[in-house]
Amino acid sequence: MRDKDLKNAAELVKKAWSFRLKIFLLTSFILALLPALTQNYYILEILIFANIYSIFGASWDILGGVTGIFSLGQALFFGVAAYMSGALNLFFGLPPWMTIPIGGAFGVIVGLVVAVPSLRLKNEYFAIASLIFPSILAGIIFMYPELTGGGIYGLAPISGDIVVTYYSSLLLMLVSIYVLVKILNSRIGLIFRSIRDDRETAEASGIDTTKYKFLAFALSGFFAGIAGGFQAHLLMSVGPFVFDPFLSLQAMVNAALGGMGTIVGAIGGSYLMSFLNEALRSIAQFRVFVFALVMILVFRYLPGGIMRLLAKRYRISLETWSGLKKLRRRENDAINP
Amino acid sequence: MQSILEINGICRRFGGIQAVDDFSLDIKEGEILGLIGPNGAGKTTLFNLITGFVKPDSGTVFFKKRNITKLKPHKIANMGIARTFQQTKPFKSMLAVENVAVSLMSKRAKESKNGSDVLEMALKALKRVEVIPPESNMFKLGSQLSHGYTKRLDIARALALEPEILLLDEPFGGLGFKEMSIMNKVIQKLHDEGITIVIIEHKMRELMKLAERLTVMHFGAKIAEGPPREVARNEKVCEAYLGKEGDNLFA
Repeated sequence: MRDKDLKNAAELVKKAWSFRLKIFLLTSFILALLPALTQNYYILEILIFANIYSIFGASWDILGGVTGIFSLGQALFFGVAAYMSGALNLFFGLPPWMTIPIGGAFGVIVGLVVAVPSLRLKNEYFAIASLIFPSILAGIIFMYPELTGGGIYGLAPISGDIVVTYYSSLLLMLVSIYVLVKILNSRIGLIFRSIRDDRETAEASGIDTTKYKFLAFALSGFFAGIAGGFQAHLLMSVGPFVFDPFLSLQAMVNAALGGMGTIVGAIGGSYLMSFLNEALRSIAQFRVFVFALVMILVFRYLPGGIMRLLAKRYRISLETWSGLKKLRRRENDAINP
Repeated sequence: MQSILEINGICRRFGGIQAVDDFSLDIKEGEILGLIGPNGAGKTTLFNLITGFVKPDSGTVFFKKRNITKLKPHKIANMGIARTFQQTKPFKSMLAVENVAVSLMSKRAKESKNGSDVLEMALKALKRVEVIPPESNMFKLGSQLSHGYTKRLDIARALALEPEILLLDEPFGGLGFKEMSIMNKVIQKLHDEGITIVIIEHKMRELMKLAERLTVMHFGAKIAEGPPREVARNEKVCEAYLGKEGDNLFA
């Protein structure tokens, strides 16, 4: 295995991995320190939402960016989980730390149900179909308010203290992103990416693509569900707005702006968009317009998002398969036996 | 020689076109079989039928005495029937080494690897088809490799399954002179290792060097079969390719 090219490649991989680790640690560090700088309720609340939407964006990314199944109705998982978490809290008195993961489990179930038509539809057509699912649910809620209660009010808050709430959201976000990145780097991530690139070739390579598509939907549903459940408790209420198409759009914009298929990009995208969203509060009626504009500009001028821009700037490879990590280790062993 | 794959009276219709029409074929263990025929004769459809990408209307496919007719593509791949594609379809956003690693994640490859390293095995597969050297190729994206390399990358991906039969769909298509001789060498080497190989090809000169037996398809049916020299002189084959003598081709 001794070769100049190989050595250079190992060097590149090494650089990429340590760069990624550094970015992750630095981000966590800065975000963990923020409450020391400001305890402003207003700013912390924006940050909490940014954390929730990081998870939500990453949940879109594992399905859309990594596996290549574009869902335009990500709010479906978010909304169902929000309603379920809310109902479990209100009617059964379960605390948030239990209702949020259970909400995630409902996200998984919905994900698996939605996965079925995705197997029969080509990606473009599935995207169109997925746009409709959350609207159907929202419609049902509007149609039978006596059955669904329309909205659910008076849920238990995450915590009475905004700083505690902030740290809970941060912890949840970092753990979720960490888990998703781990998955992206594992053999499962490798298979997800192969399905995105060419499903037929993956199938010819002996990969049960159906199984892995279901898995991608389950993961996406779970993390979107967690985000939904958290938001329900944060707002202490759930309403049909959780199925809003604008919400689905937000998940997509966050992931695309950060860098599709990178998972971590969702954090950057979400923080940027959250502050932009706040800045636009005075002209709320133009918000959708601005979001759409950002989307167009990103797709046109920055198709890889912020993460890929950084990668280019620092000449690192974003390729993520952890099998390559071994190469680095082996090269190190060869140099210092 | 024992037959490893038996196709019996297989039919498939697409709308008004009978793509494959009552086609039967025995593939013998360890041979190199050439599958030829004019464009649209149904050769690629036949590959799709064998590998489960297209389901037959009628007829059966047996692999080592086991019926594989209704199985899904990944199941068939995991039994040891690997294929390449006419239009090479590498995983474009993935490194060459990752392309091969995908196959190594399949059930079959995992069973046969007994603890050896995935990276090592991926490198071995790339070396077997001469995508490596140069070593730097392993870190090129599927979309960055030249056409000749992607053709062989596709074979490396198939080889990672440790197949017993390799179905190659136009391995020489679009290759330059030098690349063709490398491809020839690679296929010959795989044949020497005992892998049964079926090749669809239009470049007759290359195919004649490799194939031990030729099967000719025309309008979905078999019109000739036998040693290459004999098939080349077959009247029906000449007719299929060039038209009947006395046809008013130049009228």
